[in-house]
Amino acid sequence: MLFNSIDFAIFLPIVFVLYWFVVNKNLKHQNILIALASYVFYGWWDWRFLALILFSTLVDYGIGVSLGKEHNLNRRKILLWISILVNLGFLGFFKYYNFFIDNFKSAFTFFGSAINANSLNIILPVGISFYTFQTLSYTIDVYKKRLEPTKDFISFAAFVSFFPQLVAGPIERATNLLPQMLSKRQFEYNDAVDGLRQILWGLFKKIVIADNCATYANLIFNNSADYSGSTLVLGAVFFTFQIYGDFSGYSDIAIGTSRLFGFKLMQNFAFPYFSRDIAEFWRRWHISLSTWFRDYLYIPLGGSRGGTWMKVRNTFIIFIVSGFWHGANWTFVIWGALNAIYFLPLLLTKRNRQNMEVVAGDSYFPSKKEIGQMSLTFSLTVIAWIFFRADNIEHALNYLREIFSSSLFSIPLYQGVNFLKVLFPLLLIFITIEWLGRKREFAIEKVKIKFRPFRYLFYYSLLILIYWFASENVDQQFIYFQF
Amino acid sequence: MVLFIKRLFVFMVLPIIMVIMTDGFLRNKNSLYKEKIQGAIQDKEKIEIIILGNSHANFGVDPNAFDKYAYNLANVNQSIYFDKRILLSHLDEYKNLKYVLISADFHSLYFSSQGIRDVWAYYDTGVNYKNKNYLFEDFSHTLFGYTPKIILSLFKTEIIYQLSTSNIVVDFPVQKGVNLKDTIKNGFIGFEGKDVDAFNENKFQRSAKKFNRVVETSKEKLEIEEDLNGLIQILINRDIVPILFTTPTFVEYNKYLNANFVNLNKSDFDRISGKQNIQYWNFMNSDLIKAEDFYDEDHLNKKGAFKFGKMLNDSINNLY
Repeated sequence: MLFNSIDFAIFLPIVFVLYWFVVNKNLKHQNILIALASYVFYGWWDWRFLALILFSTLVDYGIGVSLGKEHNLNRRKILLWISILVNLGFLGFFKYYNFFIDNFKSAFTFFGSAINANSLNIILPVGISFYTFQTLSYTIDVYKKRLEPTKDFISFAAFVSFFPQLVAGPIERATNLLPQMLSKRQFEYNDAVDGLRQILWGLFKKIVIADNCATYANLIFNNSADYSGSTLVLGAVFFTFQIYGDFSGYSDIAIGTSRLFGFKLMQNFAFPYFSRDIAEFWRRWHISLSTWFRDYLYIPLGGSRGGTWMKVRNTFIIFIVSGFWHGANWTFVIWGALNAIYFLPLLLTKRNRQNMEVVAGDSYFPSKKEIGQMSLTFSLTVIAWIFFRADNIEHALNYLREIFSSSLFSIPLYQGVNFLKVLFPLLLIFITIEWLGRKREFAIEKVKIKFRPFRYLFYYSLLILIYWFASENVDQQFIYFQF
Repeated sequence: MVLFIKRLFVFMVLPIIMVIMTDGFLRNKNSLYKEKIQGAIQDKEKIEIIILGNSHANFGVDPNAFDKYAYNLANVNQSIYFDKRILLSHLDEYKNLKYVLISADFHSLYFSSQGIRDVWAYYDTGVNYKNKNYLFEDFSHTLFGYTPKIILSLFKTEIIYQLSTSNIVVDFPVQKGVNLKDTIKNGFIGFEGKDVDAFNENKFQRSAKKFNRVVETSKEKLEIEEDLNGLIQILINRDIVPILFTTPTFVEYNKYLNANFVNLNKSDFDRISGKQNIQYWNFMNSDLIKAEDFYDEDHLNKKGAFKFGKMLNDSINNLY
C-alpha cells in the first residue's frame, strides 16, 4: 500500500479509530491491531512475502529468547550468527543473487572460461533491506546486552512489521521502538496535530516536489544523449531534489503516522542540502541508515581509531557497503566510493566534526562563507547523485563527460517541458520553507501564523497543491521502495 | 481526543463543501463525449455512415461533406477499444447504418487505454475500460474522476458560456484552436486555420518521437487486432460495411515517423483488410491534401476536414 494512495487514505482512519476507540483499553489488543494492520498494509502489495516477514520475526524472536537464557559466549555467538546469516541470506538471495551470478559469469568469460549459471527471475520483496536491518539491530543489541530480549511475541511482531516504517524506514532501533511497543500509549493532542502536519509536509515533498522533479529528471536522464551539458546539469539538480523530496517525504509521512498512534520515531532527514560539508551532509541524510552502519559496522571495525590506513579502509568500507545496500548495481558502489572520497579529506584533517550546529543558527540568512560551503557541498552531492540515478556506469560517465564539455555554457534546451513556469517557483517555495524551518524536526513543525484562519489557509494551499499534482503525476512510485 | 476530532472536523468542513459543490457542477456538465453520443442517438434513424477514431478523425473528417447522412463519433485520444464499445452501445438503434469508417492510424494498433480520458468516457458513454471498477470515480468526480486542470477548464468554459452575450454555442471544453462560437454538427467541430507554432522541425520531431515510442513499447498489438477483427465481424454480420482508413498527416512530419513502423502498419492493415475482405484506404501521404489544409502536423483544419470528407465520400461512392 502506498502512502500517496486512496487505499491508504481509507486504511489509516480505520486503523486509527479501531486503535483509539475500540482496543484502546488493552495494550496487547493494540499491539495485535498494529501487527494485523501492518500485515494487511504489506500484503496489499504482495501477500506471498508476508511469509518472509513472519519467518524473519519468528527466527529473531526465538534467537532473542535463546540469547536471554544462554550465558555461554560461544553459543551466544552461534545464535547471533544464525540470525545474521538468515537475515542477510534472505537479503542476499532476493537482492544480490542475480548481480553476483552475472558478475561471476562476466569475470569467468573475461578470463577465457565460461561457467554455466543462470540468473533467476526474482521479485525483490518491498522493504526487505529496511526490516532486515531493523531485526538485525534487535539480535545484535540483545547479544551485546544493550537490550533485554522480549518474551512478548505480539509486541515483537508489531515492532518488526510496524506499518508506517516497514517498507522504507526510518530503520528503527529495537532500543527505541520496542520499549514503546511494550508500554501503554496515551493519545496526545499536540503529538497528533504534529503528526498530521508532518504527514501533510511529507505528501507535499513527495507529490509536489519529488514527482514534478521526476518528470523532468526522467526525461533528461532517459534521453541524456540528446541534451547539452547545461540541460544535463539541470537534470541532475532535479534528480537531487527528487530523491530528497521522495525519500524524506516518505519518512515524514511515516514519522507523522507513527505520532498519530503515540509512537516517536527517529528523525531521518535534517535538511541535508543546507550542509556545509560532506560530513555534515551524512549526519543529516538518511540518519537511521548512517547511524546503523556507524554503530553496527564502522565502530566494530575500529571506526576512526587507529592509523591512517585503518581510517581510510573503514571509511571506504562503510560508504561502499552503504552504496551497495541501495541496490545490486555498480553505480551504487561508485556512488558510495565517491562519497568516501569526498569525506576522507575531512576525516584525515580532523575537520569532519566542525559543522555540528544548524547553519546560520542565529540569523535569517547565511554568511557568504556559508553560502559558498553549502554550494560546494550541494554541487558535490549532485555529481554523486548522477551515478546513483544512471542506468549503468557508462551512462553516468557519458552524462558527466557532456556536462564538462563546452555545451555546459549553452542555454538549457527543453523539448516541451515548461519547467520555468511550474517547477522553479515550486522549488523556490520549497527551499524557502525548508530554510525557515531548518532548526526544527521538519520544516512546518511550528507554523508561526497565530491567527487560525490564516494558518488554515496555509495548510489549504499545501492541500490544493497536493491535490493538483497528485492527479497530474500518477505513475511515480517511491524511489526507496526498490531498495 | 475530542478536541482533536473537533478541530479536524472544523478544518475539513471547507474542503468537503468545496468538493460536494464541484461534484454537483461536474455531474451536470456537458462534454464532447456527451454531445456526440446524444447527437448520435437523436439522429439514430438517419445515420448512414459513422466515423470512428481518435483526434485525427475527430478533427479530420467532416461528416457534412458526405452525400449520405454521416456522423462523427471519433474523439480525442479515442482508441479502437472505445471506438468499438461506443459504437456497439447503440448499434441496434442505428437502423439505417450502412458504413462504418474506422480510423487506422500509425499508432491505432498499439494503445487501448486513453489514460485519464478513460474515466471521462465512462462518465458520458458508460463504457468502462477492461471491466475496471469505477467505485471511487463514481463516488467523487472531483477527487477521482477529472484532474484539477480539467475541472478548472470546465469552470472556465462554463463562466465564458454564462457571461457571454454573443452567440457562443460550445458549452463543453474543446481544444485550443476550436472556435467557441462554432456549432457541433453531426458530431463534428473542427479546428480553425493553422497553429503556426506546430509547423517546425522541433515539434515534428517531438511529436513523432512520442508516437514512435508508443509503437515501440506497446505490447497490446495482438489484443487490439483481435478486438478490431471482432468489431469488423460484428459489422459484416449485420450487413454494415466496415472500412479502414488512415488520415492524412503532414508530409514533412511523416519523415520523422519511424519508416519501419509506418511500413509495418500499412502491411498490418492491408493484411487485416485482406483477411476480412474489406476496404483499406491509406491517405497518409495523400498529395491532394495541401499544407494549408492542416491545423498542425497531424490534424486537419476545418477546410482540410471538409476536403478529406469529400475524398472519403467519393471513395464510398466509387465502391459499387
